[in-house]
Amino acid sequence: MTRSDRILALVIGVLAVVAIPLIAAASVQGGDSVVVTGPGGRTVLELGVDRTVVVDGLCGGVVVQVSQGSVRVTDSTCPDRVCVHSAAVDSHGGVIACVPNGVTVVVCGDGERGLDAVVR
Amino acid sequence: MRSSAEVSPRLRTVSTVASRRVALGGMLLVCAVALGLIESWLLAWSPVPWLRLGLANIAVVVALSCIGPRSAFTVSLLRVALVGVAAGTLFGPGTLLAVSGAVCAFGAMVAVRAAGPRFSVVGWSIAGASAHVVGQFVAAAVVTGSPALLSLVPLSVLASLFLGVATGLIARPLISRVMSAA
Repeated sequence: MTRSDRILALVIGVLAVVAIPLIAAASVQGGDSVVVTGPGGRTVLELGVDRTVVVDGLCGGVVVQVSQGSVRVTDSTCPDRVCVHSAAVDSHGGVIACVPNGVTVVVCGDGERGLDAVVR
Repeated sequence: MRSSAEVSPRLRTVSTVASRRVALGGMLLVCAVALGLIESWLLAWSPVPWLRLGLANIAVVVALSCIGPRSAFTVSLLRVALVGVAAGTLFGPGTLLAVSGAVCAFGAMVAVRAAGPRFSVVGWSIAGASAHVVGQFVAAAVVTGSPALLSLVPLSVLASLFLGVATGLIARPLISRVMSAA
């Protein structure tokens, strides 16, 4: 590695490290709801209520499971299944995406649900 | 009309060089596709499934160094298309992400390369890996309409630094071998 290579890596690394606390500061701890967005619209689930829903995606169904205060994608029709292999998220700002299906699962706090519907 | 035996030595040399470039480009394309497929299979066992290793970028870095930007760009885009065909994801949103990442990575590598010999292939690779991550997440945020995905960018960029160094270090001896064989 040349000196310029190291400087480039350092600059990119510093920018990324600086961005991490900025994003964390913008987040409020303790999300209480899960916004599932798909091609058919949005669905809001309570993070404290265990529940499993199937969301219609672009290439089939995406199974979203809320369990014990966290949410994960347990099954999907997408080819690479990155969403299924993603870890469960339970804190505000946590996100899981199934891009082939156009479905995202985001943990939100109070006042930012922009409710279309609440599923209980 | 001249027979093939009468072709001037200069023309024959130019033709040979062009043939070698085409052959090398094809070989690197095959390597890029194979590495891309291996990477997609490795995803199932990855602890961080949304983070790509960038193995295919090794072939693109070698192409950029040995056969120039235009041919390397062709290798990069054809690789995305062929992996999409093989994986059955062509024309899906995943291909849009892959194209976005490939174009961003290639643009960053060409920009760093244009800065001259101050940067080695490791520097190109670092820039490419970081730009690839940013391009993919921006495309994913657009496709899904969810800006929340961008919150994953900083951690992914940090990881891409190490992966960029690794792929650059792997590409460097390969470039030396290819150049000495050509």
